[in-house]
Amino acid sequence: MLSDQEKYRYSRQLILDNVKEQGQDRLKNSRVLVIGAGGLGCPVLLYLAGGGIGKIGIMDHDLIDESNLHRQVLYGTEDCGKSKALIAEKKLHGQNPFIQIETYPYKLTPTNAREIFKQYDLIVDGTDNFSARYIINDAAVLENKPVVYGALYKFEGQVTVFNYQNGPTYRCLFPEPPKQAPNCNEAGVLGVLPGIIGLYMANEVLKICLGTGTILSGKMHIYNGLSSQLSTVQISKNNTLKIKSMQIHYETTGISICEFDNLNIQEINSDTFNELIHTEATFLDVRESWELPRILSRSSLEIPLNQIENRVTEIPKDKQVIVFCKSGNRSKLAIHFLTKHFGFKNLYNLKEGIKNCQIPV
Amino acid sequence: MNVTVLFFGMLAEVTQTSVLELNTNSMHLTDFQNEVLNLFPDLKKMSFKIAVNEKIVEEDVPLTAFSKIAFLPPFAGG
Repeated sequence: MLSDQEKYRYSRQLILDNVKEQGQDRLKNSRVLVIGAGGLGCPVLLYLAGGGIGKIGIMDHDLIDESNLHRQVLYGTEDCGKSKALIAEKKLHGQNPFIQIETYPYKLTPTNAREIFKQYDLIVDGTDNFSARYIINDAAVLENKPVVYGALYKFEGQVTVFNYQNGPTYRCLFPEPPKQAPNCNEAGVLGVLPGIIGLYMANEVLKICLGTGTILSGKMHIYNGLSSQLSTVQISKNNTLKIKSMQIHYETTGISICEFDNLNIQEINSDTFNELIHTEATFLDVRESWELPRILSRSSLEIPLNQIENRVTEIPKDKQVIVFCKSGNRSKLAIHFLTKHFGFKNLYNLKEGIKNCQIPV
Repeated sequence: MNVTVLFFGMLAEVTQTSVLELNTNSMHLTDFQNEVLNLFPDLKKMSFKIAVNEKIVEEDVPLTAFSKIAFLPPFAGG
């Protein structure tokens, strides 16, 4: 039920025939999780909070940087260095004290996604990388939640709704992550584009929650801010795709598994690994920071696979380096990548990964 | 026959245009796609889906002089 103050606050949209008190009640009872509180997430969040979505989840592990401010309109100069999720919560509470806000100031992972998604009716994908987008897709399919999707490249933006009432999903359009595609930090973006696309997204969220209008499902809009052209493509459901569980990892490196089949990778087994733990040998852990077990008895270089390229200078070239992950695949990818693109010759793969090793605690 | 080809995102940077009128002898999409990839070999390294007359297609559909063919890559930015 809406209070008199709420009725007054939302009065300009309440008088719409498609909303009325009943619609505003539906918004109040809606639970929307926004993943990524960046260029897309900020405008989405502002309008969802303004419109009276009753419970909003904000998920972003990132900190505010001054280079974000031209497009991430929830944040001010004084917020630099602080958590996006927590500052966004504070700003939105000021904007609308009648809504409940939940924050998740950490990374979306294949292991935490489904539990969090269960608590929401709808997911907003405002992330900036493919691994997050595929985690969102798979978890949303498994939990049967619609995903309002937006994505940008320079002056162009894509927007659609995936997995709405058994409609097409992200994987129906792009079954696997691509070989290469830069994010906004790498490609550049004019500040208004995420604003435009973000508001398209917010509009879809509100319509879904209200149960009114035509939902942008089964088709994708592509807006070009330079030419002011709006194109539409229809997407069909691929019924042969069946997602049964989350994948263990979703890292994208720009190379595919099959590429390294003919590469000669030097490997060590778990016995050798356990002996080397007690020596000065350099260990390179390419797992994510949350993965267990950690090796606590010695230090390792910790560089998750998707950061290898940016942090390549941290890896020594002049001595033996043992590369490992959970089961030996990501470490192989890392070795292949470093050998092929950076000429490393000193890398050894831990065969079948750390899961087979007895790690001293 | 002449067909209209649209390139989105990073694909338009490879082709250096977002719209192209192409005179082609290809009567089917697969042949036409190969023609485009030969014209712009750098596209072979990239991921995309193809829409014919604004509909994403997976199969080898026939083309006509009125066909509008769009090459659509995934975007990551947000």
